[in-house]
Amino acid sequence: MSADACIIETRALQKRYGSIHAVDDLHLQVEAGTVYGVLGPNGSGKSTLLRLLLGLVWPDAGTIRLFGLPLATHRDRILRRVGALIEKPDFYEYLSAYHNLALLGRLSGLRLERQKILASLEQAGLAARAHSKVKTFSQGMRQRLGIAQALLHDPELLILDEPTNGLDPQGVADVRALIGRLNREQGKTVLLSSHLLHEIEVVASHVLVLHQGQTVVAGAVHDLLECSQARVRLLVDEPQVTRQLLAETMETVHVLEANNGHFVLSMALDQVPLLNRHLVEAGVTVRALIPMRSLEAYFLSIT
Amino acid sequence: MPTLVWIELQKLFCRSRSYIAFIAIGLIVGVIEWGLRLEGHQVLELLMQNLQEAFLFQGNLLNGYLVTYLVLNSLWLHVPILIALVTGDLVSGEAQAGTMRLLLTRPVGRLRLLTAKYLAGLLYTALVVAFLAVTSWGMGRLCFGTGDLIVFYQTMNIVPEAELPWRFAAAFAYGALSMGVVASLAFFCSTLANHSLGPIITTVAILIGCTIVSTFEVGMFRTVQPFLFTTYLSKWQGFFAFDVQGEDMGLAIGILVGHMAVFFGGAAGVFLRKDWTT
Repeated sequence: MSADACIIETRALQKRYGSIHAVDDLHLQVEAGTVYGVLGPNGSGKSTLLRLLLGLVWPDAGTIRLFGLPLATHRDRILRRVGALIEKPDFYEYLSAYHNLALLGRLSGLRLERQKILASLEQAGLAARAHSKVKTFSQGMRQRLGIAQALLHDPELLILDEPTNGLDPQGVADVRALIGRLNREQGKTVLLSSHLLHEIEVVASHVLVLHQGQTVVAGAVHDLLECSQARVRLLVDEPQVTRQLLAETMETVHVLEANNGHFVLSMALDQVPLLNRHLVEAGVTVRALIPMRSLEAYFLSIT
Repeated sequence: MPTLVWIELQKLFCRSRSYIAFIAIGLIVGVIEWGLRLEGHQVLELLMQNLQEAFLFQGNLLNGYLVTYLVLNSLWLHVPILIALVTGDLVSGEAQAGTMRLLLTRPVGRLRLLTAKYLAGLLYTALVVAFLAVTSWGMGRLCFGTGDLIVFYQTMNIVPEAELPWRFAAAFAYGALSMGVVASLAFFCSTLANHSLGPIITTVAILIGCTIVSTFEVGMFRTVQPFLFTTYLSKWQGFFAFDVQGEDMGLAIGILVGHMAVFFGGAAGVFLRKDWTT
């Protein structure tokens, strides 16, 4: 990946809180136009990484470059091009949603027209409550307002920390669709963290898996799933023949469960067609052969 | 910067807490003036009893200027608490509410943001002192009329009515400056905490502690007294001396400004390096 194509680049990034390594020797490259998911168990350093990228916390070592500029010296120029939602969205409770957005817009150097602010609220599904004080909002409404404020100045890069937290199922679907639309139609780069593996799998094109502040794996979601060991469900009418065949010809396939004709196998995804051929050639009636291509399975296998 | 300060002032005056100082001052001035209206003449006669044996006093002694002077004396301990209530919350309040995170993800430099907050705090302080001036001066003149002012500062001074407007203006300006130091201290404490109550209590505790050291003429205390801002809080009375000591007043003003610079410098040092994890 060329340096120019990188919107985010970190090198040997470190952040410690006392004796805890929140982020440890992190090298990250996020290409323009991607949706990059940051995944990891609680305390893995996801939020710290996003805070480091926004200059909310200072690194102990390493460098951060956004849009090719060092964050340490070009923070304001960089943040003009970034929209962010970090942790739970907190607003001025005593101000209305409209007033909050107007105020944040002015802090971004924008004197937004009334129509523009109302359009942002409309996009977030909050048009009817534009002039209600934020203290009367539910968690889901605050989350929607948080996304609206992140998009207010039409940023090129969105940094979103668990953006679907607190939303109802329809809200979750709306936000995921919005992220996809912003990426596809407007070419925005999105870096989002989530504890929902399924969310990352659905939304992200790339993933970074963190564990105790260190990179476990990073790359395109598709590539990771292709290369990984997957669980495969196999349903056959001849369990004995199948068991024998697996033992003799498919040494890289591990049987995790076997219950009459129902098997759960651990194997590389690219071996699945070969297994199918072997079974058919041996006269086995294959009723189902289902690869469980899930990031969750992969995540659990590596952390 | 003016836009940032304006935003900070807007936020400040959207909060009900910011009006406590104005309501409290209005009530206290009203109560004091009502009390003086009822029994002021008797109290004044009692105080002047000895002097009246040697001197002849003519005219309206219990006038609006004396009332303003008395209000100033009685409120000078309460106003700092009212100011700390707001300025001690400027940074920590936003940290507690989580809105500081929102501000810091905007393209506004940390120092600019902090400076805007600080200036908004100082403007608020100036407004509180101006409100105190307007209510005590205005209500005093309205209810008690005008006349020369008799004050006891080092000795008995009779200040002619014609000189009082500039002397009071200078006293209130000095008062605003000294309250600015209190605001700066509260602001500094505010950058150290992520909860709003801590800085307010800390400021009041420091204020009480330093006032005690400034007041007691004990050997060790005397050594540090010239360096404490609390030693200079009541120096506004110097503007009612027969001859205003310009050099003394200038030194006092310089020390107060120095304290403000130190507190703001400290606040900037903390704020610029702080990790925002809340």
